[in-house]
Amino acid sequence: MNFYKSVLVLATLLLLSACAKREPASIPIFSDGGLLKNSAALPTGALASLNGLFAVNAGTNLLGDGIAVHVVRETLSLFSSRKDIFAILKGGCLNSGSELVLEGYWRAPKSSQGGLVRLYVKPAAVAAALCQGNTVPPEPLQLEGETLQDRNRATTALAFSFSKPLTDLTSKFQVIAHRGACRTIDECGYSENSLESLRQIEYFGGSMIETDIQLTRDGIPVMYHDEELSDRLVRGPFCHGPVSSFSLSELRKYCRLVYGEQIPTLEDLLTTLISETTLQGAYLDMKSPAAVPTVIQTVKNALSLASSSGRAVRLLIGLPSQEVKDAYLGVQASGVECLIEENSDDLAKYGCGTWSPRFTEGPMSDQVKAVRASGSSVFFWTMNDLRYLDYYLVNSRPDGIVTDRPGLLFHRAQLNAGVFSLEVR
Amino acid sequence: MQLLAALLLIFSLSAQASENLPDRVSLGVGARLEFLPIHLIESEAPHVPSLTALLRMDLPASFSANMRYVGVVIKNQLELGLGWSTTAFGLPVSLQYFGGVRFGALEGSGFNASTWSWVHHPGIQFSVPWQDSWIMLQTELILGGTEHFKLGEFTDSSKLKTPFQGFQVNLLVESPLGEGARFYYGAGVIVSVPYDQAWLVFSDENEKATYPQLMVGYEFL
Repeated sequence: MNFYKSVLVLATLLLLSACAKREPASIPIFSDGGLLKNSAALPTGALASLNGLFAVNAGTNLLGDGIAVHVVRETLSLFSSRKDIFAILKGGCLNSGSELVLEGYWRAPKSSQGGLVRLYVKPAAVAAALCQGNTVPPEPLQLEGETLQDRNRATTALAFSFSKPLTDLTSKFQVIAHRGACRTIDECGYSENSLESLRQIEYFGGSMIETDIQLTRDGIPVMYHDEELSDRLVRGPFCHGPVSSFSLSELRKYCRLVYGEQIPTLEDLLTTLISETTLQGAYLDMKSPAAVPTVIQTVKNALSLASSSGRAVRLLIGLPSQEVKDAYLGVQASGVECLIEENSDDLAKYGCGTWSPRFTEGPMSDQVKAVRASGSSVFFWTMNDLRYLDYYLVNSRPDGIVTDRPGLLFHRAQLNAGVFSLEVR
Repeated sequence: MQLLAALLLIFSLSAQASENLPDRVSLGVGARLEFLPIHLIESEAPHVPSLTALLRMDLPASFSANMRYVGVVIKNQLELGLGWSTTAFGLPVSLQYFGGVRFGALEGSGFNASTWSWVHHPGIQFSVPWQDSWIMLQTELILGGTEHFKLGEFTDSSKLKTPFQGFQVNLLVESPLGEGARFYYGAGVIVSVPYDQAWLVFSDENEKATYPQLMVGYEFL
């Protein structure tokens, strides 16, 4: 009988081990502060000269043949199409401004791969010029360095050389960060639909946010995807059940997102987007019909704030279901923009200017062309895979794509930038 | 819904612990419930129920020919298989191979998508008696082929880096019900890349994940 007991114990252990949760990943940091700790601050805007597409001369096994370098304010991001790898770095000047070092971390979001990165701007004359606040011609710009396993143990040598400048796609194509750049399951170090992930979107390569709106019991629209609060997205011993059964103060008291953030309100989101980022707008996926009237008013308030701040933003109220569409028709929605998901014929019926089909319907090139020719925008959702991104970009030529891989899409859009110069309308 | 799915629980491989009788044909039906790891779940619904069916014909020399289906419309496997049973240390041991096609399709509600690929499942099963039942320990390798997919007018194929996608280990109990019928129940662990686990047709996670499954089924002559 001991044998059978052993079998049962073994089976139980196997099942329990298979149920184990993965701990949230943290962003790698230089434990001693790295070289940036003792560096001099770069002049504001100095890194902007590093924007561009670069050829990979060393590190092709990790990054492939080419990368995009994208600078937002004082942060430099690298985007590769190989394994969707991205890196996010900060810069500083060393040795009295004769050297410019960039340090940060890299991640392969489809796996747990990641680590530290250190790069130097070459040649030295270019680094010195940037440290003095001068702009420099892009050639012969180079970045050289390595990935590091810890603060000083190099694993992969990296060398990039400038090949061409980035194309300004600001008004032509939107990289729309699904749930705020990183789903919680992608382990980017931030929770999906948090203000912290919103603040990272531009560094991840996005130009707009897609987020989900639920309504609390006391009628406050909040950013949260699921109807139910669960271990998938939140922590807290009393944080279970429908979002709509919690007041905002109860959510604040009992719940934290997986990485410790608060569940933000829509007002928090829009205020932060307008005042702390240069994002082009937001796609608000309405999960609750009851939230529609409040969301419309909140969006109108945000548009006023944007206008008074001199910010041009598009705030799109997504109508994904018939219940939400009915609720939208039932209120006075003038002055706001809406978005239709499934059937482009509904654009006129609901007065919406954006069609957002699921990519799994196919590229629908002719239909996309017709909708765009009528003056509406087309955003596909949610596309993450290199296998079909290029085809959709080139053949359907949408105005934007919702993605969990904004860096990958940024890179592909830049590599296919020629198609955006073709006037479709 | 989860309760219903749990009640459906499963049946998996052909047991073959019982005696091989040439030309005997048996049919099994059942259900399986996979509990996907939370770090792979993009929204609510971590439980994936599947229906299962198995048709088996015993052949001479302890061989058997099999056909089995596991699926839920958008993720299906239809396979033909060959099994061979022998005795080692006085206990039944079965070697099995199943090979077939993995396919799925979805149209409407934002989908016009389909996918298919070849799949191979070599496996081995050890059986030991327990009262009037058998306890069976099964393991199967999961080997995949090039994935072909279609999204509207767009078609493409993507070759896997390696055919080895993972494996599963199951512990089943087989109990006789009379007149040759048998009842199965059990649990197992799957260690696999997402294609074999994510019923969403297009998953982009590429690391193997470990997760449990429960099974129940009924086999009759």
